[in-house]
Amino acid sequence: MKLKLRGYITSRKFFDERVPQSVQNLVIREFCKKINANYLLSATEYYMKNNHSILKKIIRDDLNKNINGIVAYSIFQLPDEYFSRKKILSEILKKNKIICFALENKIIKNLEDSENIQLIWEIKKKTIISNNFISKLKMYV
Amino acid sequence: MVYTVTAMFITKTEKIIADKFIKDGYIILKVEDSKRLRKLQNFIVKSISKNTKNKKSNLDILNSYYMNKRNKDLNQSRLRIYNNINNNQNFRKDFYFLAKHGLDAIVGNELVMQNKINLSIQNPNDHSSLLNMHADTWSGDSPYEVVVWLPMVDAYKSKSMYILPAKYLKKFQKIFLKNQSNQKYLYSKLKKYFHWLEIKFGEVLIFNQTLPHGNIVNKVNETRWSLNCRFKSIFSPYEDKKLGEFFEPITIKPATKIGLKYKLPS
Repeated sequence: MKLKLRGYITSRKFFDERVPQSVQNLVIREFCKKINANYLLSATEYYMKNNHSILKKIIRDDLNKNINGIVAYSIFQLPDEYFSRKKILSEILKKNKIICFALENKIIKNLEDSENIQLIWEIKKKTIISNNFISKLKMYV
Repeated sequence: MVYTVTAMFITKTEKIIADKFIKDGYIILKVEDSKRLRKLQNFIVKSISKNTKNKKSNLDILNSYYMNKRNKDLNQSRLRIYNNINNNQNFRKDFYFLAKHGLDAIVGNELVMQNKINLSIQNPNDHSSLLNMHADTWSGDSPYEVVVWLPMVDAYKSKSMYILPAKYLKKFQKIFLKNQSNQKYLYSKLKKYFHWLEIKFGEVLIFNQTLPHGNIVNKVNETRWSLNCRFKSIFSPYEDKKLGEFFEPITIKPATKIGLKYKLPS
């Protein structure tokens, strides 16, 4: 049977990157085609900074229904903070559901997969810090 | 025309529209060109009815649409008609001219318009096409935008939509902070403050999309058909919905055209 996945996109920047909502939906649609899943219309996260109310609502309401999981545009739409991310990922897995990230082509089915996501997140954070440091350093060279 | 200046340089009519819009967050006006309205309605009816000899009126065809269309097939039909609407070169222009003076009074006369007009079809008892309580600004729309909402049939009771008037915003903020991810909770707490809008075919609604609004399951035994589209002043701030990908200029005035091209002599 085909997986049914609820789309999840954002209306705000993440890591200073902005992707139009229409483009996020296209990437999600393509990803669902590739994994042969039914794509259910995306919910859009609130524009307010660090707010993940819509994601929490999907986990609470939609994942209790006949829906197999969430398909988000990118890993970097998850909360900034390690433990908030962990809580969200483990709530999804506890319900025996999955979360996919279309841009990074990842499907998270278990704790090991979710740790992999955390690792990618932490590396991204560190590279941004070191990139900023290098840019500042260049001013003195 | 007699121009009566109050605190600002606006006409009496503009002041009435502006005051009502600020106080309630919406205004319902008569459409400014009923021929254009008929044209839009005919276009939609032709998109759904293959039988050109049908003797039923447009309103009857649209209101009774639910009798021929199962709710689970509704979105596919909606997308087909939506594409027809947005592939038609004149549809957006006709739509704009139905509310031109209202928009002039509320937004200004140099405008951008959303690239695509949205279509909403709500069959009785259909849970799949609900728009829970929201404000468009929560998902990246600019607070400088307004929505023009045009029913193709009479909209009333649960066949219409609700909005929270601006005077209840403080109450809303308190409730929102308590449990913002629970739509049912928010709705139940705010229900008593909502204005339920009654808009006849031939009228148009302009509303402040920063105010919470939405709809519920249509319990009226008729299908609701409505179109909506966003407008804002060209040079007002943009948020996530950008110029080009979401909006396009529709009324650039000569002075702006000159200004955009101007270079100091050098």
